Amino acid sequence: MQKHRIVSPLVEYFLRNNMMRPFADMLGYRSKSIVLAFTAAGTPYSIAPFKRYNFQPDETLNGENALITAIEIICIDQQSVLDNGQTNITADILKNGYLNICDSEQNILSTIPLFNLYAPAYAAGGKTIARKLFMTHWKEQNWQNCFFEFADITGLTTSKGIKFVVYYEPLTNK
Amino acid sequence: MNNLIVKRSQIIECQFTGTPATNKRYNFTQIPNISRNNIILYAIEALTADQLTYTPNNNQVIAASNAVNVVVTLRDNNKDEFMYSQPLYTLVRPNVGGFYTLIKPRIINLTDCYCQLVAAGSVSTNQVAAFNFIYSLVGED
Repeated sequence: MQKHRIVSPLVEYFLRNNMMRPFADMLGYRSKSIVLAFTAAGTPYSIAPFKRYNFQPDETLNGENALITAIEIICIDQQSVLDNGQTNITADILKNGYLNICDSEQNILSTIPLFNLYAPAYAAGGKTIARKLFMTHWKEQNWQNCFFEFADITGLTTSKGIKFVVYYEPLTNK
Repeated sequence: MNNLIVKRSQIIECQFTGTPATNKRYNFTQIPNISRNNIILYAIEALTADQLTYTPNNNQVIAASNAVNVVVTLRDNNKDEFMYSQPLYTLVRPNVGGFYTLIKPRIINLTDCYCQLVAAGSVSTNQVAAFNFIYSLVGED
């Protein structure tokens, strides 16, 4: 007997239009770790509320070279010490910040609470939430124009840093 | 299992100005990015202070305990209230297994959308109900 999959028309529409993909699908051909260290006052990454922390220029992550398919933040419960030797942040800090993805003209493509980028399973209100990676379809970004901010800097110190993992597909037809 | 792909997104807010009053309509704050007629909303999530303490406009987000006191109504560009009095609680991802709320893609009229308090709870003056709108542009693949 032939098996039939039951899919709602809405879900089928989402799948067809790059609005949704199977969770276990390939995230990207490549990934890249980006570590930003918080630094002393008077330096570019000093700690202050609503300060723009821009990413360092990386042409391989610009829209003309890469389709960004997912992004996540790695916290201390996944990696205690960062690649640069600093202590990682704790997940409870994430609710104080958000990430802006911008294009080359500084137009904001996406504003995302940092909390959304924390992918592991976690407990909230007595319920356990399964791991859910923040999947994207970004293709117009200019990486050095992208930035994150913290409205409240409680818990941030100069001995800490923050780590993003960006999953992307290189655009080879360029 | 499928997972949502975010093409574009924007944190938006609905501010409880003045003394919080039940049943009063508090309209969403204008956001130029998504006030054009070429924006197609396809998913939404609500945020409480457990997910975002302050919005980019430096407004304090309501506490998680107040999620049960707010309902939200979304209107499209034809004034159709396609989401009417939806409890904010059910739009908060940690309350629903981490899932976004999917919407049949449609063009919205942001400043026509509004929140209402069904009970004042501990909502304070000028706090906001915050949302993350996931959208795409007309014709975008």
